[in-house]
Amino acid sequence: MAPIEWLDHTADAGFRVCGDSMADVFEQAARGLFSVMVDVEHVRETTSYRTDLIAPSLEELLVAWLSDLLAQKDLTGLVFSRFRAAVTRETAGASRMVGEAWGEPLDRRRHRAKGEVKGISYLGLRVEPQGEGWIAQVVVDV
Amino acid sequence: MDERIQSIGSATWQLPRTGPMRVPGIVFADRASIEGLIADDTGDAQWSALQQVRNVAALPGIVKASVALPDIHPGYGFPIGGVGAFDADSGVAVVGGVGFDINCGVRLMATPLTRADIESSLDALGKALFDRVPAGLGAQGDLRLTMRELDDLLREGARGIVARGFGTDEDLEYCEENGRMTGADPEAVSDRAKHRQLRQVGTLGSGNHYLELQVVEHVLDPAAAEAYGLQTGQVTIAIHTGSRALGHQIGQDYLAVMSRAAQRFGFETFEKELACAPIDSEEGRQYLSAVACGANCAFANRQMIGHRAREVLAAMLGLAPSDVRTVYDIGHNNAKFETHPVDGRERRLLVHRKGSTRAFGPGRPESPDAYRTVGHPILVGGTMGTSSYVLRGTEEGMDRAFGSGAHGAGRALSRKKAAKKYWGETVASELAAKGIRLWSHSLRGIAEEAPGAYKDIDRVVNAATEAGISRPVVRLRPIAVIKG
Repeated sequence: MAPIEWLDHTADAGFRVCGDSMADVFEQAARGLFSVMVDVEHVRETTSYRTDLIAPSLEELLVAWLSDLLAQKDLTGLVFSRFRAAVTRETAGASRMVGEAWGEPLDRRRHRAKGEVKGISYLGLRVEPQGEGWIAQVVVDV
Repeated sequence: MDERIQSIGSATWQLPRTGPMRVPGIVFADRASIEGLIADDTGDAQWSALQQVRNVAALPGIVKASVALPDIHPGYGFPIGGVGAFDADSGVAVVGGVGFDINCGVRLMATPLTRADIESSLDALGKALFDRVPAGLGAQGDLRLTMRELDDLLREGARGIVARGFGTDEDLEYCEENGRMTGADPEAVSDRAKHRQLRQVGTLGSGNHYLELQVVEHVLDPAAAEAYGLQTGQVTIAIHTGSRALGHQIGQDYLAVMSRAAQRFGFETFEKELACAPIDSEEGRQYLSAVACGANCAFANRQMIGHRAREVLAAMLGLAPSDVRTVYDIGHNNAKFETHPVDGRERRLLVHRKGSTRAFGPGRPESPDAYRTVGHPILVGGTMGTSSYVLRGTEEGMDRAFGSGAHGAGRALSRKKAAKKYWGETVASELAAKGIRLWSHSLRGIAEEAPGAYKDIDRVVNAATEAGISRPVVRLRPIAVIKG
């Protein structure tokens, strides 16, 4: 698993991830999101959440995936540490993904809670092929 | 000096109209800040606050100028410290002009206490506030609402909290908009946003949010300080928080909605975060109705936390609730309809303030009666180790900045750099050596929020003063800091 590269945005938190496939970077970006909030290494996989999303572009699909997971933190109290994404291109340029995330209820002490993420921004947002693989870049508001 | 920027007055700079800009940019900042901004002005809006000022200047219906205050730094779409005013008939509503934390703001409350009165109980008092006010990742409030009750709160704002017995009508008198934005329609807010908020009313959040006990260190404008009821040595309470998950989800939902609207209307926005729709369109109206709900949620949130602080002071020190007076409550992420003169005539504008506060000078009817002759207070939050300020607005600020002021020190270091440079425990012990007690749920958060990660707030206030857009009234120093 390639490491998450943290960006130096002054106001917010940003990261860049790379992988062998589009699905890889969707999974890695989700790990980046939860790494802003907790030490994901300490999050056990006791429960899972499954989602099915469609968006007009790959970038918007990535935002939809991350913001869906972010909302689950408040709706269910869960934080996640492992992710699986299957992304397919639909007709008319739209993209679809079926995603799954594994985690457990937030334990602020054991998970070494850092801070909240308010939203997934469109600033500098990228999901694109690079060389043999893919990269994604995301800036989140904290 | 760079040809892309011109000095047009004391601490005042102009970005001339070029390319797609419909109006010039005006930046209020000292020379050192401007030189730093120019060095970062690579044309990449992700990193350049000046390019963000230019991009805002290119949006449809913007009037007069795209304005930036002395705490300007790169945001997303709009710069932080940015102001964009759009004609109410022909302009646009812009998601990036409000951001995810709708109506994030500061409430300042004044007590009859001096530091000497609480010196011996300060540790216990800070700990009690830390225990009473839910803060940090995953914290939940103890106000339990049904979805219908939450809808009512989104319409009523702080008034809805007061109606539950948590505060007084006098609190409302000293809130911007009397703690309640009109035009709030809960139907414009998704069920997901509401469900996320159900357990978050009265929570502080994390990041740069705080509850502080402060002391009035210096009175700099005695007449205005007297009007605000502030005097040297007085203990105050400052609460910095916003609309919590509800506002965050509204921002997220409408980023997608307005992005599609911008495409449909054929707007060239140069930056995806400047997703926008005509004010007078279905999407624009819906968005502004949702923003009003988010703003009311933030007012309600600060009202609830202010009440909890009063409860702690009552239990620990025997203060009556009426002894702890709301000085003012004002947001710094909002879009509101206001009337301002443009080219010699009064025009109704939608004024977006992203990381900047309303800063109306003397005479405006929006200020509480008691403050009308001096203008309402502008609350400028500092870092946990340095001063905060109360300023007041001026006629020049009304004329040149749509009555807007700086909202804080502004970050100098990214969170990544700050976390690398500072260590949470070290920051806490350095603050303790300066007589500042700190309680936080996150050591990493302390490192990211280290005072050294921010610009010098005195410089921000001095630049605003030199430019003539606001005047300092009092300087406050933190003595106990509660963080998420």
